[in-house]
Amino acid sequence: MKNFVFFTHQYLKQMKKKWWKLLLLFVFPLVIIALSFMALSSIFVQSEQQKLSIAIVNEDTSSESQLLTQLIVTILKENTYIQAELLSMEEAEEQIEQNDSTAAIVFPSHFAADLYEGTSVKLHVLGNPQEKTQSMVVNELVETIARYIASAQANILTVYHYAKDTSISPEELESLKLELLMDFTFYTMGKRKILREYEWVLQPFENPLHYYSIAILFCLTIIWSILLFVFLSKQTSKSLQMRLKLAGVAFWQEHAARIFTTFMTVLILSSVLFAIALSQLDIQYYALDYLRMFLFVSLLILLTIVVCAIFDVIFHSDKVKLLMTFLLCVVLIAGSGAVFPTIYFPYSMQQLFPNFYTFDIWKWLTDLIFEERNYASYTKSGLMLALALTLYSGLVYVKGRWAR
Amino acid sequence: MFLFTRMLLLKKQLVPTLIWLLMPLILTVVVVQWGNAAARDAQIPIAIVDEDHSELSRAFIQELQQMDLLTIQLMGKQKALYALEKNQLDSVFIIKRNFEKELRNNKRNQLIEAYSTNRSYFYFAVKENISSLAQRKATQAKAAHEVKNLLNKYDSDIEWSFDEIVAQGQQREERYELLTVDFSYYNENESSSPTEKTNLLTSWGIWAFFTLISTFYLFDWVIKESNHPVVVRWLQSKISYITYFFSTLAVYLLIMLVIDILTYRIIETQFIWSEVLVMLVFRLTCVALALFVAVHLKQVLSYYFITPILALLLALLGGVFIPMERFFAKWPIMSELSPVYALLQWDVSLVWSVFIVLICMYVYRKESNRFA
Repeated sequence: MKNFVFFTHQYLKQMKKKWWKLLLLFVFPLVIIALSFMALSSIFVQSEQQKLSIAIVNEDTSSESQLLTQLIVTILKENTYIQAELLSMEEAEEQIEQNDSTAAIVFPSHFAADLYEGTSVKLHVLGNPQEKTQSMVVNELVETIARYIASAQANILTVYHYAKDTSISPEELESLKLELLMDFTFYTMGKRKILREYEWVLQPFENPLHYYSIAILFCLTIIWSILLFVFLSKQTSKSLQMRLKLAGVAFWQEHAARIFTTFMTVLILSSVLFAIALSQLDIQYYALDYLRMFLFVSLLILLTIVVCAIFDVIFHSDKVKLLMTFLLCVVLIAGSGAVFPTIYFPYSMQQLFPNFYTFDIWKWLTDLIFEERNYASYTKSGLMLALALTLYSGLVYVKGRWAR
Repeated sequence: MFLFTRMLLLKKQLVPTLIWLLMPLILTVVVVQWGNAAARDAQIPIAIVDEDHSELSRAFIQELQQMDLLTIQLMGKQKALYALEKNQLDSVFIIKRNFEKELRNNKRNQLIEAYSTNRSYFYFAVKENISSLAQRKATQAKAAHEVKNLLNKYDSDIEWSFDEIVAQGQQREERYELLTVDFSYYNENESSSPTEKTNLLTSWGIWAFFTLISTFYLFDWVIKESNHPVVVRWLQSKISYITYFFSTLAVYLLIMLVIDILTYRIIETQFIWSEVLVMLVFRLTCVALALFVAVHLKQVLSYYFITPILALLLALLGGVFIPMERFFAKWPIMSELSPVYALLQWDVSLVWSVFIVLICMYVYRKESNRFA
């Protein structure tokens, strides 16, 4: 016990001495998260705000094709973030070169005639190499529209096939073709009418800002526990190890002190941050709720550190140890479902997740915080902790024997 | 002479060194394969409630079940909506009672009820798929009605059959590709297939990330050997420390370059010299970075700790995990922050090339003063 206190003191001193490194350690995950968030939001937000400007090039001079291109322009303009205009090939190329257009859609010559005949037609999308992502968006869009028209056209050909066998006059048949194409394409475009949509609001995600701040805090707690535990590892030379052993210090005493120091530091920090975050929500919690959340957070931290400690004992090489620990961090966060819902993962993987303690703890935490549940079960996490501790002490024991 | 000492040192750690050298290649292959497999198996869980129990609705569900991405569960309305509320499903679609009857009568409005929540991330895609499939059915029905009108209008005695016309329309759509789209970039001759480039994880991004880590970890000798008790003997030795230092560096570089070219042959199908050059510059940048960090640190452990974090940061900024093009469009200077970005664009970054040269000079000056 005396040794344990001594080492805890040592670790605290070490932390005080390297305080600015420690600060970096706590800030770094925040930087990474902020960066990812900025990158992600720049993808989603801009694609809605920025208008895509598309050039339409029609190399087919027939009047039917004029109508068809007009039709496509109308369809495209239904999306509010799209600007489409009819241009010649040279103009379109110039626009792309000057980065004014995102892409050009080229209708080949004989486009309309071929389409009416039922021969295969190719639309060409010319992307702007300076805006690759947006060019892809346009490509997707054109492919969708092409599918609609093809689907409409297949059925029109059927109608046409029957119409030929009636007493219809050739002029009427010609005008019928165009009429049908327009009619069917618009009909196909209006497919939204088939669905009657209802959108529900689920409690925990009612306010994404609240949900994600708690989720980020949860991930930060895991990351900090791991980073701090690794940060506190020391290289003790062989001779020093020998001397320590002669002084009656067991390996586990130092290790336990490291676990304890890490646990207390992260616990204090996370608790304060959780308390601040919870006070921002407009839900009144009882003291018992706070206690439950506090227990889950401490379980989370302790379990994470013990797993790290197990890794620390198993792996001999420092490099491997570190890499595995970082990998562990990724797995724990992905398995918790805090960032991305686990229902979309492959089925075989999904069955593994309930075995993750992070998954269990995150589930209870969200229930407690957002759904104001007034009970909680610690059995699973408690069992896991007991299991991890047993495994850990077993390993430490074996290692101690081995060293002798 | 120096080669001999190097060999002596390496002999003891030959296997670990080799593993670390080959790690980027092996892990890249593994991660990409596994990632692709996982992406293939990824699924969107939805529930379909069949209230109609008709032939048409069953056929419709069967067609839906053939879609790769969807995992469809058939269940009762109550159960499905409960599961949706518990966030176990992405969305629920209910085929209304008169589905077949309405379709046959050329009515299509509100045939399907769709329930989603504010956490249904893929609802928009599922909705798109299901409504276009239903729309196909509706369009086919419309065709049948148009034919009926025509036959009535022109008093034809051709027999009219709903099912036959629907079947014909379906066949035509499946048999001929009536309208296809091809894509290419302006001023680029090779018509690159667009789907390939939108992969979430590119092999080269993953490779860059692991290469950063492995290069960092391989260069721990810079710290280890300058801390070793024997360093005092450099004062008496024939070759100076700096000669030794740079010769070792050269040996490592040579081995790495060989492995890089091997990697390139394995991952890419064709051999393009400019790309290999870009890759080698990237490797040099990694080495320069590793040297830069290593000469400033005294403890191997903190080196092991800091470098993966640095690698993660550089990979993230380089757009390995999240595409950063939009982000860089706003702040172009940021794109120079990571050498990974230039690699992924198959481009040589001027800033980082200058960095390599500067680091070489810097390290040379710093190291030559050390044990002289």
